Amino acid sequence: MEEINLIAIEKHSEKLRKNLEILPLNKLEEDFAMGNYGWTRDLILSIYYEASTGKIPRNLEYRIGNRGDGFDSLDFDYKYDFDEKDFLRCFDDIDISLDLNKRNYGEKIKISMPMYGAGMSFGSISLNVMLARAMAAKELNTFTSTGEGGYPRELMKYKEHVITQISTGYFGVREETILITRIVEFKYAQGAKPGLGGHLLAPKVTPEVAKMRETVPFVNIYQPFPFHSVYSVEDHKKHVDWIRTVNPDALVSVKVSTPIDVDMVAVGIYYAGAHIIHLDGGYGGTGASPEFAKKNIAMPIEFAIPKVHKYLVQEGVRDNIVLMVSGGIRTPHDVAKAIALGADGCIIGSAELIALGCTQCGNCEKGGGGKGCQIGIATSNRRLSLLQDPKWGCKRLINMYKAWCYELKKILYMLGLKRIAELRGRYDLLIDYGPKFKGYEEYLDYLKK
Amino acid sequence: MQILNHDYPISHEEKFVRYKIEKRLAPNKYKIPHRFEPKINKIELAKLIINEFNELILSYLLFEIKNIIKEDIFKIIRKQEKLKDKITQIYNNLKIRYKALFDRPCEYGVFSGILGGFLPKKEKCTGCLRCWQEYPNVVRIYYNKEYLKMEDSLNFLGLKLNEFFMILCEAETGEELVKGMGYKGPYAGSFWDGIWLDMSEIVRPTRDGKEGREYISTVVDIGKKLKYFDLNNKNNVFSIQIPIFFDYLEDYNYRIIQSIAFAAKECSTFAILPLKYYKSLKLDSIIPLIRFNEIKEVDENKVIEILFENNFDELKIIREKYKDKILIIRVKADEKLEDNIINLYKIGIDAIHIEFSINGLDFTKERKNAKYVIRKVHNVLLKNGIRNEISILGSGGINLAEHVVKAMICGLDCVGINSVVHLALQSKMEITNGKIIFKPRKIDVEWGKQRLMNLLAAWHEQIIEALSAMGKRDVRRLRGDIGRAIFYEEIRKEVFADIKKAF
Repeated sequence: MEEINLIAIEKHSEKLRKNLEILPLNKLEEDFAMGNYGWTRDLILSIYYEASTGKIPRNLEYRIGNRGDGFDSLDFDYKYDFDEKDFLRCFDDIDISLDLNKRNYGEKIKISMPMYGAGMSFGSISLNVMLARAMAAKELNTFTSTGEGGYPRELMKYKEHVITQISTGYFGVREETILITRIVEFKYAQGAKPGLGGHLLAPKVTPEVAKMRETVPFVNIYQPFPFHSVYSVEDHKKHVDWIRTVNPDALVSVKVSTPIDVDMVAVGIYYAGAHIIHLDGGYGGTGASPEFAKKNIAMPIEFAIPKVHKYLVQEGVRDNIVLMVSGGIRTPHDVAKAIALGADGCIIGSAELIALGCTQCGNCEKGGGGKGCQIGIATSNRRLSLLQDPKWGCKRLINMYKAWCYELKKILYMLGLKRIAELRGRYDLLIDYGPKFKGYEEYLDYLKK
Repeated sequence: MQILNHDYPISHEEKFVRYKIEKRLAPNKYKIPHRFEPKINKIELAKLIINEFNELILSYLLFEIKNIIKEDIFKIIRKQEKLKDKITQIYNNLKIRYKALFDRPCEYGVFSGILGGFLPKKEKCTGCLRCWQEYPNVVRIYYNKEYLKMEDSLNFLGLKLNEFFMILCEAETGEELVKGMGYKGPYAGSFWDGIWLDMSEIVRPTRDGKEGREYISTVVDIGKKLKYFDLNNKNNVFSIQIPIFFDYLEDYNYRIIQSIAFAAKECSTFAILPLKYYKSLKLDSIIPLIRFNEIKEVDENKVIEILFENNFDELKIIREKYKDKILIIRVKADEKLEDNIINLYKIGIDAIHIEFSINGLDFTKERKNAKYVIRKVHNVLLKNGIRNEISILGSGGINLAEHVVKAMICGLDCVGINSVVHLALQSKMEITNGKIIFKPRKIDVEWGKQRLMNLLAAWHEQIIEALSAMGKRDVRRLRGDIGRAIFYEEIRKEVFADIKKAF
């Protein structure tokens, strides 16, 4: 077993914590190796700033990235200028809460903001990070999800705010964990690897992870795909019925990716009796996925939301189901744009990890014995996990969401809306600036920049 | 390459062997600039070490000494054993603290070795930025300038740097790249990136992927397929195990040619090469590329590719004379492309090889992207009801596995690769007069062959991943199946139709 030098851990974690607060103020050169088209350097530093202060940064581009289209090419057609005094006066009257149950069965759950945490499994991320997310979810009156890797005992304390995920491998799924939860999420597919099962590469499968998942240590875990018990919408309904038999009060969320017929899939989910449709777009995050799958399979979330929203409206069922979306939601502006495109709320993954110090370097898959995530986020290595302190992490997540809520309310204020629900499907409030590149030559120029 | 005719002996004793390309490690021979360059402020580093020495060692020692002095020194002297224990304890703690002092903020060993940050091992840097997060005044990580320089040439090919490294990784190991974090690139694009593949949430023939229990076939047939099964008719079709073939570029050197020919043989596919190489190498994996007047020199060969020079009459004569031959005609993607294909079909040609530029554009004034051209050709053939009677091959600008799948979805039967061969075999790239020039290096043929086999092995796996995600068992079903793809321009227009346009 790896020797752990607690003094060294303390030395490093103290420096990390202290510096994450001052890094957004650092001036960085053009060729500094941070950021990419989606998560630009400014966006990453903005999240550091928000997580440290609970405020929106002034000197960084915190609203959009550099993808050149999608959320980055949309903006709001604001009706009013921002008047801070007036805004603060009506701040508490702007309602951004979200009802997660629009059906006439199951528990009525209202979360204080239209966002909750994405599924990240034990093994793909460290226990301390899971704890930080759960603690923050409790404080913020929202949820976080276990992902599909079992339900660590330490999370029981926060069970009122933890979603149990059931995916194709049924790793760590027990009736007890279905009984104690308020929301059960079926994961049919994941945006970053649609049509493929999850990967947990061998170095991350430590004995603790293997025990939780009932597998063999240090052997690759490949989730099967799809659910081998589901071959039709009827089979899917049987899944929903199973949960409702075990825990009649629990809400059922169904996570799917964004194929071309995503609208049909969504309607199928509705008729099977689910409470929440969770769409995970093609540009979503992951702990490990073939590069091929991330880029090429299934459409980005911006295109899937209007498709699904319009189809549900057409079917006359839009007000009976909640549409949560994820996969490339990076900022409060993305959240607002997703809602304006037709979603009810968003599910946040990567931004939460960035709040804890993630740099989007992409080393997460190496994890465990292969070390990997150098600051203890996406790892199962005991020594590296200690770099993350749940209480510190919780505080940073709360700060980040506070800043996001402030910005969301600001957007609503400038649009002249009082409730976030009023923003849903309001295409008239959006402006499309069009893609950055229209032809091959422009695309090349764009790449060069 | 397997010629399908009824003389082919089908033995029931033949064992079924699942198609797989043998992978073997074939490391890069020529050094590639490392992506990251850590820069260390050595004065700050020295200050840092002194500070940390003070914090971890010196202040601790002083603290303990003070403690000892504060305690009744005489009591300690009286109980000598306790002092010994205390000293051992301090010594052990110092050892731990010493280790902590030299515990470096890099998990990958950039600051390992006696000199640590004073002599960083730059090649180990993965750009994780932890060192910068901990010591922003001491370390900064930059992109290596040499590395960034490569971008210009790559962009000319429509490739990004990370994609180039993916190609190198595939050629080296034969494995597809699995990484953490989501997609890093720009949104779609006007090139192949502007197509997303469909997937299905539930029913799937096999999603055990590349190692699956059920077989996903990547066999494609090239030639004129019969409309119905006829035992008395020999059809002009041959099959290859993977829908990829090696195309010829003039700047290949002989070693690259050899590597291609041998790799094609090992991968049960073919390479299209000029007559002289066909003659010198004498491998059945080579399809000779000839001008029409050279046909006599390849009399014995079943499959040949002829350069199209607006010579319908000569080609008609050849067709009539060599009825058993599978004739592939190499046509440039120019303004007359569709008409030429229809006319070539009329004289009985079995397959057309559409040639695009190495950056995947056609040769018209508009320089259209291959994906539009292929879709158009496919539709024209469909409208004429002849799509199954002629195979369409295409090459140029195919540099990644995803391009193969997308090109097939647009309508190709089989896809040729050329410039990616240069990338996999580490040819030098230069841009001169707005053109990319490859300068092949001296390579070992065995190494070259293995690199290309590895590349195709990795691509084969990715094709299977795509097929399994789409719920397909057979790569032939991909051809022209645009219903299983999402086209960026089209979907954007559809879903953003209700949103106000700024311009």
